[in-house]
Amino acid sequence: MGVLTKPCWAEGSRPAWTRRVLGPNRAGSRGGVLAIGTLGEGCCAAITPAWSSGVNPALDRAGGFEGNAGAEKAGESDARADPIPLKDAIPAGSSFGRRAGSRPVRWGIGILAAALLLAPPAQAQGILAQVKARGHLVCGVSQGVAGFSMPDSQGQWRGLDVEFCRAMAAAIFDDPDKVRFIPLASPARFTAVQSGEVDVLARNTTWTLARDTAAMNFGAVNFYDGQGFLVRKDRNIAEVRQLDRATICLQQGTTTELNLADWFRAHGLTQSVVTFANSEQTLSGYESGRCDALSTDKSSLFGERLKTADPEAHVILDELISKEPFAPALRQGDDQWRDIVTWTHYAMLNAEEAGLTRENVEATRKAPASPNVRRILGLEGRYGQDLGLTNDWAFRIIRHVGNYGEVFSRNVGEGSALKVPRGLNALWTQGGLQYGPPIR
Amino acid sequence: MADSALAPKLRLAVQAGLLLAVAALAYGATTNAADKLARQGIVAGFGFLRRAAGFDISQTLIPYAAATATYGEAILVGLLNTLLVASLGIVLATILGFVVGIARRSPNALARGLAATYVETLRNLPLLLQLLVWYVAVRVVLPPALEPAVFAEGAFLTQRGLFLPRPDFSGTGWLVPAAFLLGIGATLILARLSRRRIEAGRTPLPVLAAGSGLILGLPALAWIGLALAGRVIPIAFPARGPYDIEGGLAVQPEFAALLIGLSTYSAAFIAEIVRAGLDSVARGQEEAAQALGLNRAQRLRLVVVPQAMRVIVPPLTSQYLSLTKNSSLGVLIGYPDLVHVTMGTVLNQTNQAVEAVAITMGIYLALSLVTSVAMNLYNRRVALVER
Ligand SMILES: N[C@@H](CCC(=O)N[C@@H](CS)C(=O)NCC(=O)O)C(=O)O
Repeated sequence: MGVLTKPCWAEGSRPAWTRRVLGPNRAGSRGGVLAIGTLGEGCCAAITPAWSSGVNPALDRAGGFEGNAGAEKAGESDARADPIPLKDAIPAGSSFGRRAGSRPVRWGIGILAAALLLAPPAQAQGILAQVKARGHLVCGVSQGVAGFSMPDSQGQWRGLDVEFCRAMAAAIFDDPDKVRFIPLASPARFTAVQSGEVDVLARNTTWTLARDTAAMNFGAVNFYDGQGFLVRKDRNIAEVRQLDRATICLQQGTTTELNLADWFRAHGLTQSVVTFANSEQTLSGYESGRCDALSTDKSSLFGERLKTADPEAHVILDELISKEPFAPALRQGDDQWRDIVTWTHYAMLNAEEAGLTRENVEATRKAPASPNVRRILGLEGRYGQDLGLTNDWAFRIIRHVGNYGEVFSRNVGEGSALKVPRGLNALWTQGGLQYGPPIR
Repeated sequence: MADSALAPKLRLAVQAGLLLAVAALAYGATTNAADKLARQGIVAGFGFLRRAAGFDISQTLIPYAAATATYGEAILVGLLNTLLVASLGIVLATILGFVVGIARRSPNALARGLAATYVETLRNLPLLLQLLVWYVAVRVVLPPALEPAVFAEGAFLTQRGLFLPRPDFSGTGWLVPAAFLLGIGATLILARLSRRRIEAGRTPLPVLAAGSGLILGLPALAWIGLALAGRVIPIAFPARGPYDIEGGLAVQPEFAALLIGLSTYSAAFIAEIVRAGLDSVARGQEEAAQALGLNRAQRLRLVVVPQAMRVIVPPLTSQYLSLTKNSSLGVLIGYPDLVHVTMGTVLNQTNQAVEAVAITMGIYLALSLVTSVAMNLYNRRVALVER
């Protein structure tokens, strides 16, 4: 049985460390060379067989590692050559191998493994390089907020935040499907960002100062929102004030629970709250009559209302009690990745402003009109390359996902069941706040 | 032989070496974690406990106001909620568990069948599922907030909870609960005296009658005395508000569902422990007691159960520990216990993940150790019963 695996370190470079080891087959006791290299943040190891005249040829090859080709050559000879027992492969007097499996050695290995686990991380490689090496983007989303991130009946993730991640995947891989979505409850989302479990968190997450300084950074605001209330129609409530002394269901670990306490206090009113760990429980608390109102970001309320047994029996109050600018969050300390996250959204805004859509972008690229459009589509300058991507990065986003207006309409706006008005999320040219800095 | 003389020393050396290695690993892990946190710009430390919390909690046993309370106080509120549900749960589960366990060895076939069904149903369904069912049941079965079931003057039951009159024992009012505790203490002393008398061959004291008289009578006397002295204890009666019954003492549905769920679930396990304990007592003991003319209740109370306790207590301790830890499942039905407040809210609002986890683990560890120690002490006492 061949124990060869391809070297996993960067082509052309050498493994950091090599070591003769026992093969997996006890009786045949085949020797091999264990080589350890570094790839990204982690270590990787490969074992190449050692045979014929001791370990040397294979060791040489392993040490030299002429990329994958060398390894494959070694693989061929593996099929051909007779394995030799390790005791012959190892020079007489070598202490290695003789005591392998004895207790001290096992302990030694254990302690070494522990030391490796505990070792401080190697100088971190950029997130972009890790994503490219992995072959897909890992994106944190909600467990189900209609219009923002929710799996459809086929299990496909849909929503404004989901499409933001797809846009990033399109920019990086030219393939909007190279994303793995990780659903996260509100209380779990930030540790997932800080620990590197997700590359980016696009999850109706409000950008606040405290979060920005907690080892995270935020990209551009992809949705301006505020905190609202869902109440039963037959209670005839028109303003938040009327909820004095009411009980309100909400989700914990959110800005919602802070805003609510603030607002009622500031207005000299009182309220009771019941806080739940996830949105399903929150909604069921409200629907069952445990609470008089459900409070969360107004944008989520549209979807929550549709999830109730009888949406007609519930209304969303017009009033908002807070500012909730949603922005994608990422781990602090990687400026290149932050630029990519930020400019993915700006590219979609610039596309909308320039009238580039999923439908017309291919045609427009063949005969671009303005210098601005030429720059967006990567026909001029090297803006994409400077981001660490290809020059057609924005073209890829528009072709696969579309401009911001299209994405908005499809997921939350007129073209969706939610029918959220554009409002603050209109382009600045139309009286809204969405303003993409120039690509130039 | 030299070998065997050397061996203990060698073993000691190995043990010491291992201990050293573990300590070194622990040290390495801690400094490494601290280093990583520092590099990410996360400020480690517990200073955040004194910062203002700014969020509300649905059930607070101590005064707590979002505006002024600190994160430390919020965590304390969570801890008290955990202690409340766990301690009441332990009491209820023990009572119910003993009843069911004894019923499984009842001469009455119906009682045996019911007890067996109870045990097999409750211990074979996941606790989380049971909690969710209880929580839905509480809300579905009970009437809406403003159409309460009124079953006594000032006592209401709705899907938002049970509302009862609440006497205000602040000021001189503390005398009433003090008298209550005094009554319990006196009863315990009485019980002990009574036992001495029995052992000395004399007639027992009327512990039950005198005890209930003391436990109920003393506080009543204190209450009346205070009233005569012009210090009437105010009682807050719950009343209808615009949205809800307000005031008084509110038992919330999250608490009720968690308490019922935890105690009925743990009772199933305790019942099995009790049954095993009863089976461990030799049949001859019961027969001998029967021959003495003791009825079934007396046989159980005086002969079988005391001997069974030796077998029952150690696994019972584990059940108490599980119950306490299981109370953290209350997170999923919105009960603000230690985990809900600390891991759900405080961790997220402060982003002090390491500290929040450390606090939570530390507290659970301490709770478990205290429970174990207490139960071990008790175990030593019941073990002495052996003759
Ligand atoms: N924007 C607020 C609230 C975000 C939030 O978590 N909202 C809830 C309310 S519905 C939600 O998205 N829940 C879905 C889930 O837990 O998956 C924040 O960033 O703190």
